Amino acid sequence: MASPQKINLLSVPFTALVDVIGRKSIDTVRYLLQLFIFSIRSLGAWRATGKVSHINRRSIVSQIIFSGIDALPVITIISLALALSVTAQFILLLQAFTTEKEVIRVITQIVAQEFAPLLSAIILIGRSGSAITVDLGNMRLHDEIQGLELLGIDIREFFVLPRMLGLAFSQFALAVYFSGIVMVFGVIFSALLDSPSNYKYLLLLLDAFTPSELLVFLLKNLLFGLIMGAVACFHGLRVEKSITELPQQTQQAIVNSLVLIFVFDGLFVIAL
Amino acid sequence: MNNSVSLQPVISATRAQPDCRTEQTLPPLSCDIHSGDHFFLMGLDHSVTLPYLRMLAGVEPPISGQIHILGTDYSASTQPQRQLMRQKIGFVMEGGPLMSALNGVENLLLAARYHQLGQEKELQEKAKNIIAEFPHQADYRDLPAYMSILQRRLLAIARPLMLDPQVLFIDNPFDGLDQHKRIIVARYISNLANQRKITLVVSSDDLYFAHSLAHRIIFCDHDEAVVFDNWQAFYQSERESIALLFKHEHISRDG
Repeated sequence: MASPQKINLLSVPFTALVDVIGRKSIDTVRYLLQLFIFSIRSLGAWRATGKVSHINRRSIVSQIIFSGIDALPVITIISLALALSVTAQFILLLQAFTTEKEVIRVITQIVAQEFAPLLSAIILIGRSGSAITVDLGNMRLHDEIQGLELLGIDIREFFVLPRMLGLAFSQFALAVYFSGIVMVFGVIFSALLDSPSNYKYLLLLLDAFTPSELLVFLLKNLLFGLIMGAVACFHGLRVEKSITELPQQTQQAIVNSLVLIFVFDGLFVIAL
Repeated sequence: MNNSVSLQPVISATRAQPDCRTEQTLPPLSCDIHSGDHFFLMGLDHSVTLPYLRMLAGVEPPISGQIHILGTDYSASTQPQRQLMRQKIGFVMEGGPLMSALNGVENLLLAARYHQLGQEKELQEKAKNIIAEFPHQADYRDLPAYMSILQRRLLAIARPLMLDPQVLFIDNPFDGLDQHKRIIVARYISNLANQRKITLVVSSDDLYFAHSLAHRIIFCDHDEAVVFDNWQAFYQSERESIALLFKHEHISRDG
């Protein structure tokens, strides 16, 4: 008969916790590695062919129309609301105890450089990222993708790359549009709410950005778009046989895209 | 020399074992498929015939043995070579899935456009000619969801033809079709074999159609994968599984 083991009750939950954290960490690293390789290979598919074919150009353009142009009404409404609730309020509050330059600095740094890319990304993830995952997942379920592979069509080049590039371009364009509206209308709303003298901020906005800030803005938004596109396609193509995988993968794509966008945004702030 | 080239098989399998994605292993197959051959791949179990069909078509590599496709050792081939192979070896999946977001004609054009095989006008003309050969005329500019199963099946079989494949593999072309539609699809496949002179490898359990089309038969089951060079040899086989196939199809060995 085996001797009874002395169980330390405190140690059981602790080791279980360490076990769970360890497993989750390994899973996260593995996921990030797979996603990174998937993204690089997808971008490499373009390099391999050396040119964007007519059919891929069409695919990129339709992705830009769907993700960028079709999202303009919702972006306009949200940016106008933000202009009123955030930019105008910032101006009204800050101008009481700081210089005009500082007011503009806060608006460009927080509203244009942070809010605009993040909120555009959130809208794109909700609208386009989820749609891409569902679209590709459905095509996987109905063997449409395998049917194309059997015709010698490179799925990464045909499906993933146009979506990544389309989202990257759309994210950049929407963030520019979002920042423009949120700053300009923020000033206009503050002038309407407070004093017409606040229109002076419109002129100051013209000189508000340095070239390096513009470059960071460009890079950040392109990276956000690439991440969203890659995550959405990665999860869509992970769907295999069961229809129940589709909502699971869509949910994961949305959550993981959001987490990655916020983490990268934080990294940009630290790096710069 | 042209003669020596034509004697070389388009596809050659040497004791090649397909991957059936289970713990079970399937018996090896050796066969040569020459240009102009019409092969029928038969068996009692589709989960056995399908891995052989996929292996011969170069969709999946063998787990042992060798497959040479268009003179290239498949296992040693690179990814670009395999992608090029896919243009030369057409494969129509069971159920013939089409791209749901594209209409019928665009489904036909897709692969040729992707591989940039010609000017848009030429490709359109080619697609039009392919559709004109269908034994069932209808409007093929609808989305697949709005087409009949027969239209979808004909399009699925025709889709690789835009790439001018040297061999066309078709998996279970009559799946889900009623008798009337089976006859139309069978007529279309026969036309491809007899008029277009396409090398065909078809997997189906339809013995009547097989008899009307195939020169040679590959019979696969869990114990053995055998090639019969003519129907007489097939009918005279003493194998139990072949007897079961006849029984299943309710026909006598006299045909």
